[in-house]
Amino acid sequence: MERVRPNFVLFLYSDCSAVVLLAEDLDRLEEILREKIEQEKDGGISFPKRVGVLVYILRKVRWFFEDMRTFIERKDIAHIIHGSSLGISILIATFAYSINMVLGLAFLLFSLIYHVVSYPESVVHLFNFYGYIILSFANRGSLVSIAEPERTMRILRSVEYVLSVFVFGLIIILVSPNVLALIFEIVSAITTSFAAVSYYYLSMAKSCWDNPLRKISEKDVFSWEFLVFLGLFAGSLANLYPLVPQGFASVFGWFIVFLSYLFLSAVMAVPSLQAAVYITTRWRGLAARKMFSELEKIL
Amino acid sequence: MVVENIRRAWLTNIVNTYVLVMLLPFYVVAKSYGLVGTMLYAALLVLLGSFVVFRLALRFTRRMLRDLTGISNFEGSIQVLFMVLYGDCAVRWTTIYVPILIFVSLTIDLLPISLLAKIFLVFLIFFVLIFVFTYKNMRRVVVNLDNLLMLVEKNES
Repeated sequence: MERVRPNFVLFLYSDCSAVVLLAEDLDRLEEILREKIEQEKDGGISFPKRVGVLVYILRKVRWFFEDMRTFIERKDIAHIIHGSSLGISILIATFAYSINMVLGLAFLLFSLIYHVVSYPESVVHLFNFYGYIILSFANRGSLVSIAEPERTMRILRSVEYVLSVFVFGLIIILVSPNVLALIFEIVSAITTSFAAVSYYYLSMAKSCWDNPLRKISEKDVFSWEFLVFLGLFAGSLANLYPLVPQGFASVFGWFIVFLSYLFLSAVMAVPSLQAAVYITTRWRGLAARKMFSELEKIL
Repeated sequence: MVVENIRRAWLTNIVNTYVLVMLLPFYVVAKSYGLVGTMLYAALLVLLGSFVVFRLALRFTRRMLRDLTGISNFEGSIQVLFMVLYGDCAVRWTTIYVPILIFVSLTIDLLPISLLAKIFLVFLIFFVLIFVFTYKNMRRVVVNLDNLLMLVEKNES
């Protein structure tokens, strides 16, 4: 066995005395704290203050509005929020118009000016929709070029804005008929039917660009974009149906034909979009490979 | 833009052939069952027709993909050039095709002839128009192609 050295024994003795001293200090501290706690109200335990029902409700409402503000200020949905606010404002203006004509028109004018001032991008969105979608469809028979995904995204945002404004026009059928309601209803129904087709087409174009190698199948018809597209399309047609004047049934019939043609051609275009994106990617790859092989020859 | 024009050319052909065939019964339905019948046919077309056209489009897309992936040197391919030119000019005519059809059918509706004769006349004009537009598209493509080839020859000489 190894012998214990004397200096190590001395160290052990001094260390034990230090531990004893520390334990005594801790006991004294515990006594002092116990005395202090006994002096405190409720034995030193503090409970949260009880609030009244009104304060509780107001606090909840404030939190709700703070959550709403955070949600509204999100950049990715700002255009939808602004569009919806304009749609609701026009809806209120048509309600007001049925009560008092001047009041309705004044509110409509105020809403439009305030909207343009507070959200100047609205002019760009409207120009994109009417100037690009409708005109390019008339000129080129196609809504968007597959070569520019950035433009697809930009136009999709404009379509979402237009849809969020005019979708409220579809519920105007509930308002008692007046001139303003009639104009807004007709414009909303026609615009929404075009915008629904464009929305489906552009959202599918975006998803094709997100994954160029995606295999498109019949399952894509069951997508939620298709359901939104179908619902809005049917809603806008149902809205126009009661407005057809006596003797103009054939004209309206052909309008339905034209919209159905638009609908079917948009559905039919989707697989070719995916194929075109795939071919573009493949051809770019081939061109890049050719360029590298030529570079290797030179170097 | 090359692929986009090829896609448009392909799409125009498919849409002209199949979608217009699906739309033709509208006239008969509208004459026989009125506006309610037209609305019902539109609903049927939009619900079931979209599945049919999607399936058709998938089948034709596979063919388009097979044709295009087979082209390795797309820069010097006359086939690609033809499709690009066709896609550029075909859609311009197709877009005005539907309004012309609507106008023609509404005009024929005013004629004092029997329903059977009206339907026959509408169908006849539809197919004559398809033929005229296809001819016009092809003619324009060929003229553009000739102009391009002449330009290439001039540059080479």
